[in-house]
Amino acid sequence: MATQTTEKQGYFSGWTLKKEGIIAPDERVPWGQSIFLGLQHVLAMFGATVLAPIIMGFDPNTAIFFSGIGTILFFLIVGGRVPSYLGSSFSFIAVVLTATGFASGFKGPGLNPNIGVALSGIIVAGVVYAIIGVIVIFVGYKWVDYLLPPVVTGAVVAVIGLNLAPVAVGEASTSVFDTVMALVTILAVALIAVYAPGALRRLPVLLGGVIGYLVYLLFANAFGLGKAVDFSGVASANWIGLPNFTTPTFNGNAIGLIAPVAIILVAENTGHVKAVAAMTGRNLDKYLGRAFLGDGLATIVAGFGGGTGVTTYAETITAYSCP
Amino acid sequence: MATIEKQGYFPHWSVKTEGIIAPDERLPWGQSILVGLQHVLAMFGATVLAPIIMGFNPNTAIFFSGIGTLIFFLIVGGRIPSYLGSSFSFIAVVIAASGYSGKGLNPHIDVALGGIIAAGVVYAIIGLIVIFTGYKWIEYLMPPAVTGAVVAAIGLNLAPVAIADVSGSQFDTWMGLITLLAVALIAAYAPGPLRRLPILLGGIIGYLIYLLFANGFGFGKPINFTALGQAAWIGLPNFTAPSFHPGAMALIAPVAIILVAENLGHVKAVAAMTGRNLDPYLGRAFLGDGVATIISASGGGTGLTTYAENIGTMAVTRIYSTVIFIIAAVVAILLGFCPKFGALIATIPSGVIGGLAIVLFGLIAATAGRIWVQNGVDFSKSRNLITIGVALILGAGNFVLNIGSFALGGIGTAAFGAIIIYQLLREREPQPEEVVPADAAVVETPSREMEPGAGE
Repeated sequence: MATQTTEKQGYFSGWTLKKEGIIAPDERVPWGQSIFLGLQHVLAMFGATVLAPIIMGFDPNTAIFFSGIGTILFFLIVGGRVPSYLGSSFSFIAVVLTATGFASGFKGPGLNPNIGVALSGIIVAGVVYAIIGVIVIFVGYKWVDYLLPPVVTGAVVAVIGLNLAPVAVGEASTSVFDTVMALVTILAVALIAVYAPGALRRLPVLLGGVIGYLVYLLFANAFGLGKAVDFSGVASANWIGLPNFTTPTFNGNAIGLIAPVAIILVAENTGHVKAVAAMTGRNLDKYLGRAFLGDGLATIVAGFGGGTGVTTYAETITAYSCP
Repeated sequence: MATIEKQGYFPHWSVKTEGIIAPDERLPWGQSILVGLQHVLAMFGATVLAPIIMGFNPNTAIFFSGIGTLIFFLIVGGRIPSYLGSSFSFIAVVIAASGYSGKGLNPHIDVALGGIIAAGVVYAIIGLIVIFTGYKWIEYLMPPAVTGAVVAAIGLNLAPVAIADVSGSQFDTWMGLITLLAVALIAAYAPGPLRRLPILLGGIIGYLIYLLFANGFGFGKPINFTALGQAAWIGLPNFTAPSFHPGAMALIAPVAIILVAENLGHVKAVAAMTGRNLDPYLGRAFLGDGVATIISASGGGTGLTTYAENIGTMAVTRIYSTVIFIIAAVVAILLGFCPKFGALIATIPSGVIGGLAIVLFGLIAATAGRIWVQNGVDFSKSRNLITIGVALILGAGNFVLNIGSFALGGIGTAAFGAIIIYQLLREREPQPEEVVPADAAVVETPSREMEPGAGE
């Protein structure tokens, strides 16, 4: 698989058409198939990209809009060399909740009243991240490897998840019905991840979420065992409309709290780029600085309009490995 | 080196003066006493820290750790070398069940004791079942992916306790960080055998720095030595009788499952180190540990468990003689009769305790990594990823499940969650990773892996 093809020249690589086998970053399948695969990646990133803004009280429409804008920006900056989707980063959740004093718990999207304060922190984190990217472009990435060896990056990644544990447990503990629904949803995700047929197995968060939602509807709206899902917001919403943009409000404390997330994003992105490099057999180290810069700029742009911080997505990386 | 088992209830310890000393051999008495004292030091930090964090009396706890070790020795017939110290698995549920505020002695210790006894009874019953039906079903229920997740959940569930201890004041926070650094530097750089006492020595360093900056320069709340001055040199430990409350018992009893997972790992580690097959004694080890926990909690001691710290010490000294642990137990019992010692322990400031707790709880969580790596748990498989991931969040976020008036705490939901999800997702035909026994909560060769280049 480690096909050491010669690198193509030019800022963009110019994609060669190929119909079977491994499709390298600088190759492509015919347009029809390309569209189908693209939709698969939308599904792969969907669950997490939408969940992160909901937990922080951001507008999920705006977040998903900026994840698309961010991905295009990233694509331009890495010259189409690193295949990656940029979705909502979970690394921001804990600090955003602290900085905005937003009591987590699902109260509907867009309800965080201090979102502007969080946005300023996200922008500064993006700036720090982009600066690190520029430094890496000029001096190389060895110092990043030295500062962040696997034992450190692993610890950082574990901390992101564990630090969020009280948020998840808080959501599942508001009532007995909620607790039972959480357990049902966990089981649905687990069973789908292991037993669902073929391609469905790679969408456990999306499908498990849909199953949990339907079971909730049945027991709450139909049988009245829990607080019924309220559809009035859905009915009154338009089919087409502009996303809700929010502007940042600069706040020193929030910036101090949120900016260090840049370091976590560096660790995360390094891991993801190395994973993609290992899978495609291309050495992508020389694009690492550009990947940081691209991700940083995408985060800045998202922060200016009310989106979440974005990061390269592990979910879509696994979707390449089993097409 | 499977030697023929010696007959009789107890082995006849033959005297040997060099090389590896097997469980049924012993060193001359003088050397045995020295090695016994070394084991006292190894178990000391954690055995004393656990009762302090729960508001138990450390004198009583150390006294019962000695008694418990003797009981264990009797029940396993001197076949398994092990020291029984305070278990950390009880801390979170004991604090929840007794509503402990985190300062001074716990006023509702009796409620917690009733629960610990219930856990001990369940544990002892599991031991009896294993004696009669064998232990294969335990390995089937709790493969390495699950035991690792349970161990990690214990450490992570305790994290808020450690953090609260270092967050009382800014000075406490700094003292916690200094203590943590002292422990880390000693564990990695201290000369020879000192390197194996990082908690004890790091704690002493933190304590002295605290004394200097608080009592000397007045930066923090000074340590108060009046109680230490008044305490007698010799006196009985403070015994407390348990009281039985169904809610507390239901909350604490599931810890038995965690103790089974823990002990299973420890016995397998000792077996691997000594080259003896200790599987036939596994049921007796559970029974012994369970009975020791029951006796300890009946008098105001903590729940007990076989200590990994001492397994590490054995691995390094290569002295596995069970006789050593009689000596260590007697020393611990004597310490229990010294109120001065308890009063000294009680002067340790919370910032220093918090620093030690961060390292100790963190090491429990990190041990899980070792269990997964050594048993080749495959993290590219969804069944393992989801089992472990869910258990970690249930434990770290302290997911409490209320069933009627009973509550199952975070460690319990993590343990049951991991077992249930794993069994639901289990592969039908056994994979290599699942037939390999959960053979190590502790590395087989700690001399190499834990202390790189330690005095060899």
